[in-house]
Amino acid sequence: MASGWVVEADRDVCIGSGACAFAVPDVFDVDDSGGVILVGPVVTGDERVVEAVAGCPTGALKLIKGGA
Amino acid sequence: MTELVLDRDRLRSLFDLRSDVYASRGGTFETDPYPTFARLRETGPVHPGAPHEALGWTGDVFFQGLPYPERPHFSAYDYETCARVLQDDDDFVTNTPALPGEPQMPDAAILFMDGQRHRRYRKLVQPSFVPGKAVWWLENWIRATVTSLIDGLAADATVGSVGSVGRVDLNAEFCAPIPLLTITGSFGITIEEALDVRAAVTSDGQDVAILARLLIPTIAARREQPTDDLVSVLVQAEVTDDDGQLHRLTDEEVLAFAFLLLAAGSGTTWKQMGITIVSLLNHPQALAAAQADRAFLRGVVEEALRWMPTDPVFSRFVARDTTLAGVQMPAGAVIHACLAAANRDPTRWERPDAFDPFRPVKAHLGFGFGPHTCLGAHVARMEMTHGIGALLDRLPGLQLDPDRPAPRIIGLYERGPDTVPVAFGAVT
Repeated sequence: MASGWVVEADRDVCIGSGACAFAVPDVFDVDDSGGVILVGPVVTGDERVVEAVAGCPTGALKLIKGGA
Repeated sequence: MTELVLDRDRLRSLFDLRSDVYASRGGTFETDPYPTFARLRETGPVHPGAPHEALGWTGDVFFQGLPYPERPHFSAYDYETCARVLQDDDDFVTNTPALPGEPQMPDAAILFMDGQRHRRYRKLVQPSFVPGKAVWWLENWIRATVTSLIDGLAADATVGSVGSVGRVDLNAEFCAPIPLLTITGSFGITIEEALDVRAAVTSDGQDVAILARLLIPTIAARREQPTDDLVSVLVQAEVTDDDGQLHRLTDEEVLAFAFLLLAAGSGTTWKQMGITIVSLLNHPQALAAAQADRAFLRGVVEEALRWMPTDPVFSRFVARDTTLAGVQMPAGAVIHACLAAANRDPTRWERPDAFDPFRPVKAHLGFGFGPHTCLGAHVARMEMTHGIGALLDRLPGLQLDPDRPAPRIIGLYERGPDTVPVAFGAVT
């Protein structure tokens, strides 16, 4: 079973606002087509990622806290 | 650096919440709305009626979602409910749904579109407004404007100084022109024409004719020869229409975008920058932290957006009969999401009424939420952090002018300081 945090991004829901990329630029960015991309690893326990997921305007991000 | 040529009297009259321009937004409203918002959040969080009614405002209001006297109105005052109203595209919509017997209103601009159509059109401009593009805005328009404006303040300080102190009201002289000249510059509009554009987009007559006269030649020129600006992005954009056909934006579609972006881009950041400067200068510890490290301004800007958003309400319509926080509302009703109240929800922030830029940054509703979340958020952030940073760089000893009345945050549906009077020492 996977351990550690994983973020799933639904690009059909994403509107490319860049709220996540502003909050955690080392993890999220927006590509030229205006959709979110993951540019770095999600560190388990990184509270900034929790806030970025909660703060996604369209609810396109999902944080999966993998079990140990 | 060329000197900015702006008619100062006209600038002051166009950017004055107490002027007639803002009467329909409750510009002269002076009461602190937050105690009422707190009570409504605690006793609701959803109530019948619009926020201005709860605040005792009896003047006429024309704003997004208002007045619509033939429809029932509801308002939400907590974070969770407001976030749902803004994000949920099934129960709530942004384009006015027709009542029985009414024709459906057209949705020419993205602010009034919903669902996939909104997504298709917003995606045309979204890539120009992502965080990575903020530097493009800075280097093309923001930096030059800020530099010129501070050069002007410096010149004035020499002429009109008392001792070695310069004094100025930053509200109209600094906060207003930065976003105005940034967004007009991106549309190829000259500095001389910028105030005409501002007058056109704030007139309740929605003076599209003035805008068309100024922009049609530029649109034609960019179709021939694109440059590195927003008009070029728009004229080259291709959108899939409702029939599945790909087409370039028409002049009318470019103008609809232009009207919205010029109106939103030239008015909101003006007031939010004033709120941020006043809040910062009223908080000695935060000012010291920003003086020591300009990176601290990022948190100052976010906290001001949370604590006192210039646009306190975003309104939508109920798409189908629904229940929100226990309150039943019929299809066609107007639902006002009170962002200002949600941003002080004590379940999300400790000491929510305190302006505290040292608190951890959390997502807030200062730029709205959902698919209509502010398109220009990252441009606005850059305008504010760069503009305020440049003031701190070049105007040593920057403080609120102790010899002038303290600024007051006024306004109902558009909020901002009445003045931003500052004093400073020698200019560098």
